[in-house]
Amino acid sequence: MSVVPVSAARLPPISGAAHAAAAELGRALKGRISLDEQDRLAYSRDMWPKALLWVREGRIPPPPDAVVWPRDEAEVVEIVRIARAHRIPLIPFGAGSGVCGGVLAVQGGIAVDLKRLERVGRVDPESLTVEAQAGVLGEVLERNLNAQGYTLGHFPSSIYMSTLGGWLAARSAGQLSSLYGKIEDMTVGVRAVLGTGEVVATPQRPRRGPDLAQLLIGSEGTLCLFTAATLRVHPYPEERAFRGLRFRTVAEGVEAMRRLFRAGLRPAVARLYDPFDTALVARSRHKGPATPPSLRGVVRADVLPALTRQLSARTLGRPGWINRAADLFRSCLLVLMFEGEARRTAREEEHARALCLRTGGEDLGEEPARNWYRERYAVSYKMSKVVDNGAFADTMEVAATWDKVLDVYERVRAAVAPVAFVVCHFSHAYQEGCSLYFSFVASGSDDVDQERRYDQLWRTALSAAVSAGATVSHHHGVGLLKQTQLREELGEGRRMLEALKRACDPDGILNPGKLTL
Amino acid sequence: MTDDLRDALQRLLVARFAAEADGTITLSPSHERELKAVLDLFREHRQPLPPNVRISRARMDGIGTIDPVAGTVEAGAGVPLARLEQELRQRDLSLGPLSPGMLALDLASFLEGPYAGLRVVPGGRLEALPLALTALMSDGLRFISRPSPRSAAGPDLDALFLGGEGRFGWITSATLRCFQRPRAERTAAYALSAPDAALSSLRTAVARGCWFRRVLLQPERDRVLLQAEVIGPPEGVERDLSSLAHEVFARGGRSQTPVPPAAAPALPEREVSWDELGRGLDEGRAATLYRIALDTVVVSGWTDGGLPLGGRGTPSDWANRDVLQAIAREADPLSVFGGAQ
Repeated sequence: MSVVPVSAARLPPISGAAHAAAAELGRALKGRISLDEQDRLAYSRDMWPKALLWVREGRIPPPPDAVVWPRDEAEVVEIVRIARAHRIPLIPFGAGSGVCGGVLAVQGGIAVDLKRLERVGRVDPESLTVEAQAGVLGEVLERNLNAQGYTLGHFPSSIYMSTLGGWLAARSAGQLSSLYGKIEDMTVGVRAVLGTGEVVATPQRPRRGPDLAQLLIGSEGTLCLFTAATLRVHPYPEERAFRGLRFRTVAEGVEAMRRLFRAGLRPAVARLYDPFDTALVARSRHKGPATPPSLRGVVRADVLPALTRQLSARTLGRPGWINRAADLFRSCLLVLMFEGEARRTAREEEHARALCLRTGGEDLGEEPARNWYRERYAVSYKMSKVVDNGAFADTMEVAATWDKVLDVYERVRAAVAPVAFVVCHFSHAYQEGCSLYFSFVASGSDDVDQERRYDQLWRTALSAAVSAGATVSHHHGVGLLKQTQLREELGEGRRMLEALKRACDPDGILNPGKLTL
Repeated sequence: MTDDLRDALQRLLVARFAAEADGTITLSPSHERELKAVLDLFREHRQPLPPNVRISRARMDGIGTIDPVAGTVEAGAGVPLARLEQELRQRDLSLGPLSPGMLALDLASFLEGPYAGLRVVPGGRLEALPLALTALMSDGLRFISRPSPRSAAGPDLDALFLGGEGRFGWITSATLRCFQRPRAERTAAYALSAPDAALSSLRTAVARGCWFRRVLLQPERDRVLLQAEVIGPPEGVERDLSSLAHEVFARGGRSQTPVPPAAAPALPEREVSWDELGRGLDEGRAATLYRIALDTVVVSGWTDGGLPLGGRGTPSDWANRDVLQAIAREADPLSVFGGAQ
């Protein structure tokens, strides 16, 4: 993979195959194709922080040769046919909110922006399902459903800048996944165009055989281009109940979360902030929101600008100092939210509160959770400001069963402490375990050192997480970032992924170089 | 099957090679290593598994670690689900509300057959019982997935094996998700004016989070009786009963005295859609429901409609057959597992 200096003001030349394909694509799509440098540049990256580092250094990630904008499924089929004929890669593109480099055109090719496939159907009130096209933006879909009296229950922090197709491609999770599940849980069926050009529609149950939808969801553009999905929806919640609780230690807080879910309670949100994250929250309380959704919100609002102004880059370059200081803090904040039928919501919240108090929690009232809810989307933006300040930040979301959660937490913190300032929150909880969402901030002496530290950080952190029994990703996906660890996680089972690839994309044109394929 | 291969299998398995008079051969390896040796022999002789050969994993019936913290259990492919449930209950855990048809199966049959290893969770979603699987692939290598509550590490490759009828590989063991053992069970009965009202009440209650072990629906001349067995922790059962009653009363239903539940005989089971269930009730057919999900329900005792859940199917019956068969050809190029028929 080559990273091109922006200062050269020159993108890699468009390949001959792309030029040849472009003429056909232009005719098929009635001109909805661009080979302009601006468009190629715009589609050269997603929100992967490493790509931001490259941009700061004056380099750009590998761009596509061209960008196309199909309007319907038939046009997607035609794009695949032309790409196959010219043996040119296709990179499905939603809204570019991925954080792992999944859309980088590592072998050139055509970026297929699917946002014009944006229709949302009527909710079937009997089956509680809706069909939506893959390019619809998350917020548009949710508002449409709300207007019909329903909710999808999928609220990723990227909801304003991510599409249904992107969610499917990356096995996305929303903030309320504990109640509504991840996107793979709420998908009843998908429509997709395979690399063969074949359109597949997975039927609803009852049906025989393996569930093809679950084999396509999470394929990150390597097996198919999603065009639509049938999704499970829910009546818009009648009521929400909020609760904040403080625990003396991470272990106590995690145990309370575990007991909640093992007891069969179904909070929509259960987020436990580790001690330093909790302390940051307390510091910012007098300024406004008492409970930001994650470190990234804190970083954006308070901490990093202050740190980068008041502490020298040298200090951030020695994160061990800050991490040791963080060890002085102990107590953790747990945010709970229940929603749904009024009669159930209040009762579940009461039971959850009682259970938390029995597990050593201290009731902080509703406000911390209400604040979290108000600020729940105040994330994911202005990462570039962090980078502008001469540092870098990133997040790592892994998942593990309850018996391994604390070990994963301790091992990752210990491994990363010499490299980056690290905090963590525990969220997306289920009966069997939860996700651990680590946030890192670090700096380096110069651009080269920063990139070296960035790579070292990820190697160290993921290796620690995986060796403690976590999976490499809970909801961000793999992209370019986690391929080495994915290969390790799959082991010999990678053969099945290769078999899927050969069957669904025999010419290898779909997003090559991703998912180890 | 050639004589050479037959002899080699007999030498390998000795008493665990059983040939019947009708030509059926049952191979019963004791553990994964022996199963791999069986697979290796078929591959070395470049022969697919013939229809008259049955691979029994009944001897691979060990129950491994039961983890009360994560609520998981490791189990061999041959362990009968009824025995596993008994063991789990002694540790205050449960596989959840399974139907008599499911409980009559061993783990491999439940996972690979038409039940596809699916259970229902509160809220009405169908969810795979295994958190992770170990399976032998056609080349004898092991497929091992990582136990995690959810993952975004690529596609869910476990899905190839669930409902896969052994065409992509043979499951040898699994890490299963367990619930806390339900500590309370209550039965409530109602009368509603029409099947539509009964099904609508029930489906909405499921969506609200009600968790049923079993529901009986009995159409009568001018009404439908609905009797629901609610399970869970005591406070959860109270919540669920309250929700169900609210839905029933909102549709004009009335409380009835529950009939003492009879022991459930193991009748044939079928997975049917709610539409099909409604049509059956309209025709006056009573229904005993299990695995009551928002997508479908399992009906005991019906002899037609929906998807029959007994026995095994073939890939020619599969939905998305062409794509799945193409994957099978790639995963098993020598057609050891019977190939893509």
